[in-house]
Amino acid sequence: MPKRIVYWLAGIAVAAGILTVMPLFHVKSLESTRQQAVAAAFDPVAVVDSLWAGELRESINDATPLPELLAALRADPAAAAARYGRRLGLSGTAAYWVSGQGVVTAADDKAVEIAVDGAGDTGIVIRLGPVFGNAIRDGSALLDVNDFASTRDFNALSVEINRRVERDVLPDLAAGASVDRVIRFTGGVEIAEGDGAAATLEIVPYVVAFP
Amino acid sequence: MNTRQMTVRDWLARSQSLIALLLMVIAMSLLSESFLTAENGLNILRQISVNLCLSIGMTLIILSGGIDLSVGAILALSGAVAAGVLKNGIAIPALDILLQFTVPGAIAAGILTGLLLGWFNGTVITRFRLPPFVATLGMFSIARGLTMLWTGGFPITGLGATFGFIGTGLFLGVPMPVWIGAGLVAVFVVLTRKTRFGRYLYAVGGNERAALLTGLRVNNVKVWVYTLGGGLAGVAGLLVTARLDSAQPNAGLGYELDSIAAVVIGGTSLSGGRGTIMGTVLGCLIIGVLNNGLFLLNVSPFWQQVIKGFVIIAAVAIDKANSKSDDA
Amino acid sequence: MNFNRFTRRVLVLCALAGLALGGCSGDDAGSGEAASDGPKRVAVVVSTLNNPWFVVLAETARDRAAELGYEATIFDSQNDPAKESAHYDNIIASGYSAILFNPTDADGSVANVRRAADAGIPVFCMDREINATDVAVSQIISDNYSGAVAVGRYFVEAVGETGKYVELLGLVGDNNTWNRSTGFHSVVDRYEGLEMVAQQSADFDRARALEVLEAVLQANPDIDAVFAGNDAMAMGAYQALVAAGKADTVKVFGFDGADDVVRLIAEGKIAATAMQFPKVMARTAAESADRYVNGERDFQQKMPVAVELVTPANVGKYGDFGRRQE
Repeated sequence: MPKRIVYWLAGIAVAAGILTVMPLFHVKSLESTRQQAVAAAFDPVAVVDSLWAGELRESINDATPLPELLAALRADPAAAAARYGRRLGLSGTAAYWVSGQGVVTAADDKAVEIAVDGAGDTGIVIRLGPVFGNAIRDGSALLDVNDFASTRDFNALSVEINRRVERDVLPDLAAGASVDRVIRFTGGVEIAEGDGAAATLEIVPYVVAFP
Repeated sequence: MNTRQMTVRDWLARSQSLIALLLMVIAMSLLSESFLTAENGLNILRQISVNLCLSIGMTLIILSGGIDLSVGAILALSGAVAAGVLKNGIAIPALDILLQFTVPGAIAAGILTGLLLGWFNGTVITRFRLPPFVATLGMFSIARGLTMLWTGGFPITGLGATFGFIGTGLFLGVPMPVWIGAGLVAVFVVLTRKTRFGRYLYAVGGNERAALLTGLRVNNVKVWVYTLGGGLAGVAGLLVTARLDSAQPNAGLGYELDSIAAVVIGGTSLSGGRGTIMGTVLGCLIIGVLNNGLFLLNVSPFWQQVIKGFVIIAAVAIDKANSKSDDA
Repeated sequence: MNFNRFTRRVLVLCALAGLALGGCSGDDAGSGEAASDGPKRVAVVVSTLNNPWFVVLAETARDRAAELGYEATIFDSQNDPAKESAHYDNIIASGYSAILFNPTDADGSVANVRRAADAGIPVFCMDREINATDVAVSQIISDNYSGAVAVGRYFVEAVGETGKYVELLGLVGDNNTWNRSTGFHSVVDRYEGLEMVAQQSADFDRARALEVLEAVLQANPDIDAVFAGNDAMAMGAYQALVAAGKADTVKVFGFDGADDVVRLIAEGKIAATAMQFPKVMARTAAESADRYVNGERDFQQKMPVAVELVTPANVGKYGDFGRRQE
């Protein structure tokens, strides 16, 4: 019997020794781990913040003037899409980065309609209310899907960009738009294949000004 | 006289499997160039290592006259627990602490889960006198449900290279799962052949009533056997999780059938008392060679299932004939 | 006595082995291994063959690879990463030239692709992505999120800004389930008038969707619409509504672009679905593999394939898992 007790004690001592060198678990503070996890996760807000103030602002001058784009689309939609548009992977839709100047023809709480100089018959609409889609993300050609680990993160960027538009751009537009006022804008637009000669184009604005 | 007959029949059962295996190996190497290569051989050994762990445990259980339908479910839960505590730790909000498990801790947690569930099986079977089929069927459902609860239906991924080593690492050019399987085989061959516990096991399986009358603590043996089976299922769960670098909520589905097949093909009698660990190893090898060879020959995986079914039937038929001559 | 039986059994085993030999060599004489001579081999690993959409994906990939001169074999992972891993083991050991891969799990499958890449076998992902950008050669993935956003926007147009709806989710552990649900909700949740009265998983299965919706209708008889995470569930939901006599008052929205749903959209019975393009993805993957084998190395890591909204207005353009002219 005593031998057994000796074996047991020896076993416990060895186990204790191993456990101090190679512990089974560490005790950590719950709060600090949670904060660490939040900090390590993908943060679309940070990416969009730096983009909004930086590269997007700089690319205002790269925007294609709407009359030029529309003329090209009417002439040869496929070539126009290839030259001015940006497709995400294999898509039937291309996104464009455009600018235009014109006169407000109608404004209510749902949308603002604009007659853009040189746009001919095509009506230009900027919708007020929730913003969806990837017009600015893809049209600006500043974000590459390959730079992000998962498309979930890439899509989160669109959500954040749209949120910024709703928060920073649309209120000014809604406040300032009234019929016959001159308006200048730069923004993104998505045009599906075969819709090149559409009657209206919906613009998602990045910047809007009433000169 | 009786012991001599038993060893001769054991040898017969074992040689049948061995002969079948040799025939298959010869056939496959003639039909496919890539079969008899070192890389493919290691491939086969690696692929059978999970089934081997489960089958060793199943051999012990079947030797004792029982059966365990829950090993696949225990595999899944053990793997999930290990992955969960490694990746997320255990949070105790009341004390505002997080127990962040290390890799050895996660491994211990996984094996402990298996041992615990196996112990539960054994206790229910001995304490409440439930038939093993029914008790382990219940555990199957319980463990599957617990796995779903623990994982929330999602896989737990991203477990790190250290943990992954036991599933994907190489030691002296041989995959780690093969080493672990071989180590377990060695341990349990010694256990069944050289220890008192092994003799008790065969006695209980061969004739439980007689064993009870000679004063053997039959219930004790049975609880141990199911506990060990659960622990081995836990090891198997760790191997699967480490190999995939993720704990899948549906891991191990159908694995119990494969392990029973390996045990039976290896010559162990389903009524208990007859069989060896080495026989089970052969059974695993036969299934592994069969799967691998048929794959290399571009035979559809569905045909593989059909053929495996026939092999099981043939093996059990031979086993029945063996036990008939036992009574004669 | 024993030895006679023993000899008999050995003979039986020999006979079985002989049969196996005969049968196998009959089918596969010459085909199978020898990667040194004979056509190059391509493996198509698909997550499941239980769903016709994936069957189309796998078979198109196989057929295109065959057209390009490869011997292509389809491997079914049965939605199980362990089986997928075993397939990879076998593929790596057998000298395949490329893998066209439909992953079972965005995180779990990364290890498998890494092993293949380390063994020098290029992997091209189809339809689903893996959460790593440095192991696969190229990933041709379905942009489920944006497709679901489009469905969500049409949903608001068709149902209005107030109403009650039910959402049927797919397999809970599947990335696509959540991509679609999140995309849909990113639109619909902006309209407070639209209330989701129930959200249940029907496992992407038609029969389950029927049962689930029937049960939901018991508790919530006045709904205006159902959004199903895939077309099989949309069909099941539609059948439940027909049985309850509500097919005219409740609008059904699906996802995938399956034939039967497209037909019902043309007949005005189902409101909309989103067309994925399995054939485009499969063909692109096969062609990329071919270009890689012939030396090209410049591939886009991620190539999203847009998912297009199919409504009664444009349903004429679609059919047969793609645009009609295909």
